[in-house]
Amino acid sequence: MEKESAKRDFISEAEEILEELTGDIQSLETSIRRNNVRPDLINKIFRQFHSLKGISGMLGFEKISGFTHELENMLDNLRLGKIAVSQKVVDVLFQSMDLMHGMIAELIDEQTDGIDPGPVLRKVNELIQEEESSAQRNTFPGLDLDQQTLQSLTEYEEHRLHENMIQGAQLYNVRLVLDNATFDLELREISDLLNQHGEVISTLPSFEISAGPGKMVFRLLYGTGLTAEAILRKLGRTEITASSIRKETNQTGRVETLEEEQEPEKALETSLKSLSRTVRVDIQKLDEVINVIGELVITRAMVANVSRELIAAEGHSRLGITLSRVAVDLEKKLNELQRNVIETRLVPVGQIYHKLGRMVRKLSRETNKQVDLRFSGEDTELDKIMIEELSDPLMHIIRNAIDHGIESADERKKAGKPDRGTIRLSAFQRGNNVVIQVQDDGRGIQIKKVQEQARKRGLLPADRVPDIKECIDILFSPGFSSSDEVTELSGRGVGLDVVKKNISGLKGFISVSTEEGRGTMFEITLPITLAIIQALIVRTGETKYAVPMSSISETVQIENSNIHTVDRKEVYCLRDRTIPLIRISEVFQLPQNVRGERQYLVIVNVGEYSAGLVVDELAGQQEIVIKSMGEKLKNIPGIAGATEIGESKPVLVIDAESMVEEATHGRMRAG
Amino acid sequence: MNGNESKLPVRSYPQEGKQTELLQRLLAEDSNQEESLPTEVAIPEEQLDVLVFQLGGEHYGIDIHYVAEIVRYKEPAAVPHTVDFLDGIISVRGRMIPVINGRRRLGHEPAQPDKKTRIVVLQDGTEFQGIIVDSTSQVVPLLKKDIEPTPPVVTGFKAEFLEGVFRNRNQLIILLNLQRFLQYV
Repeated sequence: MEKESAKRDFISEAEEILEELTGDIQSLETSIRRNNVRPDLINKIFRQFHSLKGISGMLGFEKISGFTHELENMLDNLRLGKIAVSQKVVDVLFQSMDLMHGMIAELIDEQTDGIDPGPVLRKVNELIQEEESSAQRNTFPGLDLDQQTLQSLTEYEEHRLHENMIQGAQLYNVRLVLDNATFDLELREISDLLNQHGEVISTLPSFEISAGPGKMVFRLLYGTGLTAEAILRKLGRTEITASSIRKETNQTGRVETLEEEQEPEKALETSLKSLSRTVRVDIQKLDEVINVIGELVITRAMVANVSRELIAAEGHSRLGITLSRVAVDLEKKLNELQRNVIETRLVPVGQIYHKLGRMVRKLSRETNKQVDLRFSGEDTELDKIMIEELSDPLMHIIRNAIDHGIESADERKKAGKPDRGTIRLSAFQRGNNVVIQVQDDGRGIQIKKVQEQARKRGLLPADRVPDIKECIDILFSPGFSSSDEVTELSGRGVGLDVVKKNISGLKGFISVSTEEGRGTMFEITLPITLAIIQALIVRTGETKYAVPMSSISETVQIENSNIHTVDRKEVYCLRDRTIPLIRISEVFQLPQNVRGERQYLVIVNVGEYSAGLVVDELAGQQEIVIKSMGEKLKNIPGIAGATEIGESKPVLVIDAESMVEEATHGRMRAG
Repeated sequence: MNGNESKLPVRSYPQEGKQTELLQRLLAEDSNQEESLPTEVAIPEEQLDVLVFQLGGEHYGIDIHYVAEIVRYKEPAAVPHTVDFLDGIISVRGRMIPVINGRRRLGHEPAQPDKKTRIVVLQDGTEFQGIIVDSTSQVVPLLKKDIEPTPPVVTGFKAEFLEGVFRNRNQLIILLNLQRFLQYV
């Protein structure tokens, strides 16, 4: 049992580390392209693999620890400068990431021999063999350093010293006199500060009695673009001296860039700090809390009822009034509690961006198309569960964009576009929803191609020429794939219809806009959380239902004169529109109840379509928690789940989209 | 068991809803490998405890291992597009539980619920199911060797639901095969 929970912890921790590593390797790649690789980034990657090795070794996951061990060796050579930091290294690192993900998945599935680290391992070892011979090491003729100091430098420090020289940084010997009691803190402070403007290459304790009792002396080897005076100014302390150890000083104007580039480092450190203040919580625990809150909401309703009854029975007695105040107070507190718990479930969308970035890299390699993925709005927050569910649909859309949207470099050149295609992924909040857009600058949806393909598949009569709106509808219909041949990327018979289904499963909807030659944009709109939603409670006959407000556009009282039939199907004339009428009892095949005097129409929107649900009563708005009815009752058309509204029985939550689908299909079959 | 005379053996039940599927699998594997956990597997294999309930004047028994709890009858909310013996769903401590009408499942006439009517809530992994029964009476220990085959008077689809019968004092208790009893789409 203990072992199992340790394994679970390992998996979640490893996944967290890998997630972060993906980001780090990506920044490594960018920094290689910009030629400003920061040593601390390589160090960080090294450390992360090191901890992966550590924890996997501790738990006896030999496959993982064995692999990370080799990788660690390679990274060690990398940070010592024995291997050049190149795209090749990045490629191997990315392949290693894929492998790590695979091996962890294996661990979850309890398999051990599905994945062979061999091929990647060979590449890692090739890199290790490739050690760059750097003859200049260990001799620093240009530096005013005594032999003893040189000998006390570690291999890594030597390498860094060398790098700093190559980059033309100023090199200083910074001498600090610190108090015995506080030297560790002060030393760290000073090092941090110095590291923002350069690199502390080595920290050497020094034995000087002259400093006086209770004092310690340190020498820092410091590489920077700053002058000695500037260093002292930055440190703002008196017991520090800085002397240059370069014999010939060839000043370079790298001061500003250095300062600028060190900024992200600072940000990194603060983010690390906040990380250590987080607690990892199983989302199920939060679900339980929300359940309890849901029950408390019902209890509150009961308290309110009792207070009303008390007042009705005894008039405005003191007890009755106090009780009703308590109920109001309770409601406020509960709302606050609810809001707080929901906030804990929200995580930034940026979490899946990393994953998608990895995929785009892979796909652009496979398709030989150059694609850049641009992100924005990574801080936009969404329910953790939804983020998980979102990555598949997003991957699919991006795959489509690379496979069908983005043209080859030649084609792009001809069209006067830049060689590299761009996919923009942006997220932002709009009201109570989160909008996620995937926009490519490819060729757009080609009506002609869609039309051809649709005919081939019998989705379109031969004589019909669809407009763009119809084309988009066709794209979302089951079994449609516009690729001439089924490719590994977007073929496989899974189409946008699945994407649409997934999104509507999350109570969201998807829309598309496209311009031929200019590109396509998919827009996904989602509620921030599924945990608690606003719903309208309606009644038909004896039964109440909850309809999520997100799918309702308006409610109207039915004017019988506006009901007509078209081909025996009921429709309603709502202002200038004619929309189908849906009777819940018909869809659910319940006995027809006597129609009340007055009926209402709940207009629901499904994508761009509307339909009207006929109900006998609108019983008010309420916040509800949609609950699953278990595996067996999971896929009943028209029903999203069940909820409690403070009455003796649960009520079913209507899934407007599948309800409309079910209703119209039912009629088609009947007709 | 340590010599104390308790009729109910110590047994660990999966905690409600706290385990992910993954953990479930891990747990399953765990109990296979490590036989040595004394408090968890102290039951001789040939013995089980049976919850006895009544349906249409007959006594039925199910392995208590699957029983999460027993609640008083409450009216379920009907769910459309499902089998006729599923009366609907009830909420037990915030969890939605599909409820089967035990009488209908066995092909008996359904009865008006009264104050003895109970819903037996069963748990299998993360899935919950309720059975409406006329009443529940007791938990009896049963040695597997005392189970007799079902007498051939029961035929047709119902025969599959039955695991066998056994005698407790002068009661004849029909042991249900829960897996088949609860199998429906």
